[in-house]
Amino acid sequence: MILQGIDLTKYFPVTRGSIKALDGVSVQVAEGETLGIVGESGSGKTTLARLFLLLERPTSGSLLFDGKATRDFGRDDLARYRRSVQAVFQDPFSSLNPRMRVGDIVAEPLPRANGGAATRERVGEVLQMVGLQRESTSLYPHEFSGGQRQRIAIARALVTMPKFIFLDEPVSALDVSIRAQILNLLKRLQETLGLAYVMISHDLGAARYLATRLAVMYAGKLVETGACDAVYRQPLHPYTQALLSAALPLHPSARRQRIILTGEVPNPMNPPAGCRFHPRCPRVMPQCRSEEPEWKEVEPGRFTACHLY
Amino acid sequence: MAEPSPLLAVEDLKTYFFTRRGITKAVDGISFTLNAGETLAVVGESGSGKSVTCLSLVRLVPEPAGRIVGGRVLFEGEDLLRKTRAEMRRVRGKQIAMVLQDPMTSLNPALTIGTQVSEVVRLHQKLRGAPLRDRVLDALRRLRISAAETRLGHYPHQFSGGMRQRVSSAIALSCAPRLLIADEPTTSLDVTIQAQYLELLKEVQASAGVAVILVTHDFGIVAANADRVAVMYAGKIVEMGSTLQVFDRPGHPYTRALLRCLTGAGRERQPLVEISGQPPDLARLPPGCPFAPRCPERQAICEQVAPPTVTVESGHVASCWVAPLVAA
Repeated sequence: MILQGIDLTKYFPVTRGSIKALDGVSVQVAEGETLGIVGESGSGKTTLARLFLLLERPTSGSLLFDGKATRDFGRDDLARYRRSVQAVFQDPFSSLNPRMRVGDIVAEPLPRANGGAATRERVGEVLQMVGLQRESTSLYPHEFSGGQRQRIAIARALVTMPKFIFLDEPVSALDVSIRAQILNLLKRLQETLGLAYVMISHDLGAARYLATRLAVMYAGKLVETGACDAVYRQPLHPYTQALLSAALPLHPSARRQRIILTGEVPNPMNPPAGCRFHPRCPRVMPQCRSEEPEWKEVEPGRFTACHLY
Repeated sequence: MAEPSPLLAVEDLKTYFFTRRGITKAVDGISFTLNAGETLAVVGESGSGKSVTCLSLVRLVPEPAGRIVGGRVLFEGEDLLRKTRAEMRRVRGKQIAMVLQDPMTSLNPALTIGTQVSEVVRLHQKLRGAPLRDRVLDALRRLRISAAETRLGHYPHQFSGGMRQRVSSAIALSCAPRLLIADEPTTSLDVTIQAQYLELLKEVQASAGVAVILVTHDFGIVAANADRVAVMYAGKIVEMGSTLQVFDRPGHPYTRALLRCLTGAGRERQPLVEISGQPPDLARLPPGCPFAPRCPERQAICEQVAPPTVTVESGHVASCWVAPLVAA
């Protein structure tokens, strides 16, 4: 199975013009891999996930699931898609309905027709997989800590036996010691169930821990993709370089000369001409201001959009 | 020669919350000192008592539920806990200033930035008219707010997150305080903006000679900015030392565990060692060491008797029964 997004664009109309949240992004995710999508707020990473989850329709471009476009889906295709593609969101305090019992929350994605005993069995099974007690089903979300709630959200995503799970900042709302528990759990689940993850994160450390492939976004566009380790070892695009260099050191001796970007992320209603990063780029050249850089393969498996290459 | 007396000396500070469920010991007997111009990072998870510590220093603990029940807070030799409310109002904002986590909530959305920065300067420096305006512009420019003159008339929603945090900091630093308390100042900021802010903080601190208490849950920020670090757990400081000492020779098992579960961009992928269990309920603390139930190095005594504070090396202490064995 494979998920593909081709030339996806999403504009949100506002009073004067439109917010260009996503502007021509193509990505694909194969079974069993983890695609990390990193970028700052407003880079379009969450919009991209919402398109894949069919929560928004793209302004243009198409989504393909096993080669079939989602816009041509019939009822059965859609049901299969929803079973195969699930999500875990950032804040387990708002993503779980406080008035529902854990058992009902976790069972909700299952078709009603499944019936009582089978559903109960499946819910108990996934609760155990995420390290919770089978008996938790009768409790309410407020009886759990943040880390345990995120486990409930993961159980809900697993219950339909999906192949793809979108993780939107899955550990950002959690404490440091709990963060490691959840990251390890996600990794273990992936290994035993053969899941593919799309992990959206502004936390470069957490992304590196799970991702096998990395996509870096800036102002609604992809700026770089490649194998995760390769991108971390040798980032090509000046934005990726700055982003990695801005990451906090792991040890005080690593307080190095960091590339400190000046300025702010551009206004999504009126992004800069040429390369969208040019007003902040430390290596800006004349053509960056007028010509949009082409998306090209610089090294085998390493793509970027930059006039330097 | 006698050592110069520290800018701030906190001795056995205790802040408790009195609730229907019982007494929550949010801050339970912490002591530390801070020298002029120094950065002390206070690290801990949610509920460890780091924010209540900050509020206690400036006497802003939410009353009547919360109360400072013991200890001393010596600031330039004077005990802040003995000052009257009116005296405290003159300390806050002038000698001790604060920057809070979310500038969207700490700034008033209905007032212009100019009004908000002027308020502090007007109250503490008794300036008016042109001198007031100059001082306000100067404060904004020092935090690199460009086009400060036009920005004066703008409202908080017209600024980005990073800019708002710089405006908050401009307010905090406008009266040249001796101590700046920054409570998770970059938690709501993006990675590149966080890096900008932390660098700027270092610069401004060096030029103004202000001491900083930097509250954070992120050891990366400690590594980037702090001279010394205090690790808090369940209302207590469990370890304190210079940043290098704590990173290289952590004396407390909790610190060791936290450092092992750091994920970093520069780190090769290796299994994260997780800390099992949850932080304890502060209203129902175990009798011994509060970390004992989660501690991989637990001994029998840890669950019964509160651990002593031992010196790991000069300037580096840890509250742990096992620490002296590690140090030896």
